[in-house]
Amino acid sequence: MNTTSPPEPLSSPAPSRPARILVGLYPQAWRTRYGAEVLDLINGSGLSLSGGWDLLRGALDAHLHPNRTVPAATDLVACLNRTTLRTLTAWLGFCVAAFGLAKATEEPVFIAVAHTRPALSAAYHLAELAFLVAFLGVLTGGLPLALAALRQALLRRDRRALLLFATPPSMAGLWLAGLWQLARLHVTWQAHPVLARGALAAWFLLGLAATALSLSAVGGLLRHTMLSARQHRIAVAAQTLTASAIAVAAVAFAGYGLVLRSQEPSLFHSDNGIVATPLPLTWGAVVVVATAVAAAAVMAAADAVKACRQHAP
Amino acid sequence: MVDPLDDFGRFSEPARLIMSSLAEGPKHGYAMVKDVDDFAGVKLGAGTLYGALSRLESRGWIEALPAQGRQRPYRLTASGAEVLTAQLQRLQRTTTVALRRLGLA
Repeated sequence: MNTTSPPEPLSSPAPSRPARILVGLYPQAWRTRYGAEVLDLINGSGLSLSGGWDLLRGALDAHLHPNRTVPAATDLVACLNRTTLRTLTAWLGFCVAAFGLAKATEEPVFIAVAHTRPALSAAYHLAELAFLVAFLGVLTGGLPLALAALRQALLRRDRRALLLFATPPSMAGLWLAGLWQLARLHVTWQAHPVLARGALAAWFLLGLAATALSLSAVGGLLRHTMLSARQHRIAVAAQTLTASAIAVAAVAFAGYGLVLRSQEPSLFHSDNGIVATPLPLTWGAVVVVATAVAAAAVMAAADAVKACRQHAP
Repeated sequence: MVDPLDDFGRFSEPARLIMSSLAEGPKHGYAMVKDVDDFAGVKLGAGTLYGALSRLESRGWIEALPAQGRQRPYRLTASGAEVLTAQLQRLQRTTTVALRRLGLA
């Protein structure tokens, strides 16, 4: 590593007063990150009149463009990008769990039972409400990020960023096309159960691959996008809201199954699970997935809040 | 194609010089100033140096290494190397054309 050092002084003199005054003109966060380095550099090379003028212009620039010139926020940005991605991943997992429970309880008999069992109805409605709130959280946090990413990609005419931006909708389109193809196989479901289940598995794998590619694209896009402090605050608030809603939904999912088992055991032990499997199996998988993604989302939100507190000016 | 350093304003040229300096290996502020002076004859002031460094770091084109005392070395990242390569290829094309038109190449 080539790190030519400045001439070592005989002792370690305090930075000159003009240098300290000039560095003191920079924003606090900037000084925290770079102040010591700059003073060290000035100590080694000296401060001329033009050097002082250069520092003065730099201080003005740092105040005018804090988002570009206060890299104390860089660690924060990287951390928030990661937590955003973790929350989004958790939410997608949560959607899979919610879809599983919805499919398992779609028969009219479940709706009829819910009318006579208030606890069952309450658990189901709580899960629905939590799902809606989680979706709103993703929308509130994701939409400003997506708009900022698109605007910056267009301004920079950055083809790679635009390609990344187009990836999630393209993948969703591909996955929906797979669903459409799967629906066309419906007529052969009874006649060819193995083929139908194979097609379903292929569609599921397609969904996993599409999700992985989409998340990778979102990660790349976040790294390409510079967000304001306000946008970060909104993202953190949205992550907290989403995580809380997913946690509530996980409890509601578990509660729904437990109430069903205690009050309608015959229905609970029916073969209404995904692809006509026993319902306890589907419910168990739903609860495990929902609990795991809830834990992941809560940890991501906690990390985001912690990072914001650590980097607060 | 838009130059990715365009929105660096007056820091675009210092940023290019800093990336060129870091292409050799990690350096801290003083070493960068000295190196840029040596190979380009440009004396970067502390305000300009750190104005450009902070922008490069925010973009992820350079990254800070663990501090050594009060000095913190920086290194070029892979995406920074890509940006620098594109910059240099563009400059090389311009230089080649200009020299040919002047009858010097």
